[in-house]
Amino acid sequence: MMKHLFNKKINLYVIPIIIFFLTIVIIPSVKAIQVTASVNNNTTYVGQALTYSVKISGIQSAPKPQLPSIPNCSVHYTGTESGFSAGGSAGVLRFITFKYIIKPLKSGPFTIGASKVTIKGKEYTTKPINITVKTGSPPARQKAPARRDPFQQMVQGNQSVNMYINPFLSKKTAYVNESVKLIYFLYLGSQVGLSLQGFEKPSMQDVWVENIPIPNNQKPVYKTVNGKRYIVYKLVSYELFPTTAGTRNIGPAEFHLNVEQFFSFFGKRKLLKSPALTIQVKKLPENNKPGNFDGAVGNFSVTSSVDRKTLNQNEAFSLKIKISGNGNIKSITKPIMPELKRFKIYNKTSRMKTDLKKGNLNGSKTFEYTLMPLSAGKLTIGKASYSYFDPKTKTYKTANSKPIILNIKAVSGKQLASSAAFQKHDIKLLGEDIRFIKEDSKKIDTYNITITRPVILFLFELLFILALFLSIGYNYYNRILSSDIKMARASKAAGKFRKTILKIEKKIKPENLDEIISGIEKVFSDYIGNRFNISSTNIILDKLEKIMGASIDSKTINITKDIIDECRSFRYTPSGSREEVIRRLIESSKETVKKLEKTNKKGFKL
Amino acid sequence: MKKMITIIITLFILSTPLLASDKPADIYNEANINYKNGNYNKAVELYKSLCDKKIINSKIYYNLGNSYFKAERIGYAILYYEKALKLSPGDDDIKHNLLIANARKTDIDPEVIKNPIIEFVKKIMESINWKILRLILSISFILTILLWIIYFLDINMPITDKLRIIMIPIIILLFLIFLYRFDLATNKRFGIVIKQEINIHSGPSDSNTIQYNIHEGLKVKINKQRGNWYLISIPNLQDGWVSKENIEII
Repeated sequence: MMKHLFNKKINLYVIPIIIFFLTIVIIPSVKAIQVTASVNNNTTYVGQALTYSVKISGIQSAPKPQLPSIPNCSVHYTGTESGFSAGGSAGVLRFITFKYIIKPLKSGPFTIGASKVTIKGKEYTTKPINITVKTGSPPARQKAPARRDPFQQMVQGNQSVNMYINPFLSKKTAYVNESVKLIYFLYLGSQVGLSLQGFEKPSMQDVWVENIPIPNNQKPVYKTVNGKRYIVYKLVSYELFPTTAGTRNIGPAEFHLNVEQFFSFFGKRKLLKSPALTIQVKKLPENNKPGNFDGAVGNFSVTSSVDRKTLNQNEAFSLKIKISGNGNIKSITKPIMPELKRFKIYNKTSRMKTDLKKGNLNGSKTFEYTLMPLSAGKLTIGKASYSYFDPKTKTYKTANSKPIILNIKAVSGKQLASSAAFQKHDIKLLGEDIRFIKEDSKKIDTYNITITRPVILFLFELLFILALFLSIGYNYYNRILSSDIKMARASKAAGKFRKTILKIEKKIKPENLDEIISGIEKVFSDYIGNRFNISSTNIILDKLEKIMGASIDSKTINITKDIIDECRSFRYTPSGSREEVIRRLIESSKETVKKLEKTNKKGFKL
Repeated sequence: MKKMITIIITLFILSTPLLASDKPADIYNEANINYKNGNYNKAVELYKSLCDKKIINSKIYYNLGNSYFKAERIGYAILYYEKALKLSPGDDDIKHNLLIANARKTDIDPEVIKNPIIEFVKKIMESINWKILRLILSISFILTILLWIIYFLDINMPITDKLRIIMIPIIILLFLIFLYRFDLATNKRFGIVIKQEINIHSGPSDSNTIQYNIHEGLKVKINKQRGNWYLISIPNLQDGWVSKENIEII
């Protein structure tokens, strides 16, 4: 009974939980899909952004909606949010919201038409939304106190604010065309994951703006403001160059951030605005202004270089004049050129290079000239110079390059005539300064660079490689033989025998048969001695069986014994059949050696 | 009748070279004539047709560079001078014309600090004619093998003892030069900008930020390829991505 009650109690808790989870999982999928559009504000001002959201409920994922064309507005897609909502008549509903930032560019009423989205083959549309765009700037929500320090004011004014934008201006007073750094820092009260979704540049007039890229791997800096510790990130960095004197206003910059939240998978959008700033821009002093001053402000140096210092009289060379330093590199027009009377100038190009090391806009502008010396001997390219205003010392300065001495070699009369013609008709001949085509069509279809060689050479190389391997093998074989006397003797035995027996065979005459038979006995005994590594003199026939070993069959051993024995008893052979016996013995010894060579291969280690 | 057949056969044999105008040498000569007559575009077309036949020859590349230069297509002119220089790095004509063409382009090549010793060694290695280098390498190789054969055969020749040892570093050095030259001629690590102005993006798509612009004729190093995009690098500038259609590999 108790057990039954206990089970009932369990069911009371478990069943609703199961139902709840089933509701989450199953019910959303069977709910009807709804598509709605909304804006965060139906009334806005020209240039003020509003958020347009298209919410698709009853589905976990959906294709991006098709927005209507919205005239006189800039539209930016900022991402999606998804999740589920519980409670209400709809129960638990999954949804996905597509968000856009719409910025009206013109005042007056306008309508955001119906957005369309097709899900599972069915088209859904949203209702149009009417917007009123007013001119002027939006009214301040609350009157801000005097802005002595905007960041402190923000923190003090609202303790709940745990992030804000702090712009940094390197100087508030600057000369015309002087570099002023503007950096927007993000101050974070706590460690949160966030991403910059959008950025509205501050408005500026009569200011040349250079964007300084922020490195992706920047490390945060920790700063304490009013006793509170902040993590500081650099968001945007500019190098400004005011172009006219007076007060230059820098409008607020807007940062659209997506902030991750701790108990949510879905980020929260946050708009942060920076306070406006001003720079007082002073005119450059007129006193001591150089005549060739082109407005550069900063710190510059000039260097010149040539691609070679020794060349022929009619040869072109390249002269590079490089102006480098800190300042508005782009505004550099050209350096004051050195005297180049003894040179012909063909053309000029320029290239600008900026370097963003340490977050500063350093750089250089290089002017390249193609020149040709008009006379031989030592020619000097004088100093190139460039005038600029140094804001640190508040004076005008002129940077100079070092002169370059060239060693020009004289050329033949024919070549000189060609360069003289150049002087007379340099405009017409400007295009002729490249050398003429190569007309020789011999071997035009052969590849210049191939790894392959002529076949004969290749075969020759192969032959030598083969010979090398053979010689290595021969060398190895000789080394083995020199270290193993038994094997050395055995391996050479048959060769020696064949050579000697052939000689003996050729010498057979009736008058020297005794000499021949002793020769046969010696060569055969030598063979047996070498083959079995024994002394070849006075071989004891009874011990041959033991010496020759089990690998030799008894028949061969007996033949061997018979040959030696017959040689030794030859003197008793009747005179009529002596030559015949010798020839038989020779043939028999040859056959025996052949047999022994075959059998010995198994018994001997070569 | 017999005489008639002989005449026909003779005429046929004599006319064979005229009919075979698709011979590389004939196309080359025709292209040269067009160049001389100022028909640079036609010359380009003919030289290119030789390249299309997979003929790799520095003379063709050089003449093609000249034709492009005359046709005021500096990017392609530089491209083909560079291709020619890869095959004949010691050729003064190519170097001269490349210098002139480079002076015509908008961007100046970034200054790169070069080691004078390495440059000197490179110059020596590049000044050797490829065929002579190949022949020297083959002869040295055979000689070295011969010296080692003498050694292995235990032939008593005292002069070969030192020579055998000396030849080893020589052959290694020659082989390294050979490899350097072969790599120089066949590597595909550099390209030339062929469009007037191109954007360098931070990633391999048009939607990525434009980092900077470069202009026709600039030589760039190609580090990577992803789809239709190259990751390029230029000394002293950030690496960036560029659409393949804007760059021709040297």
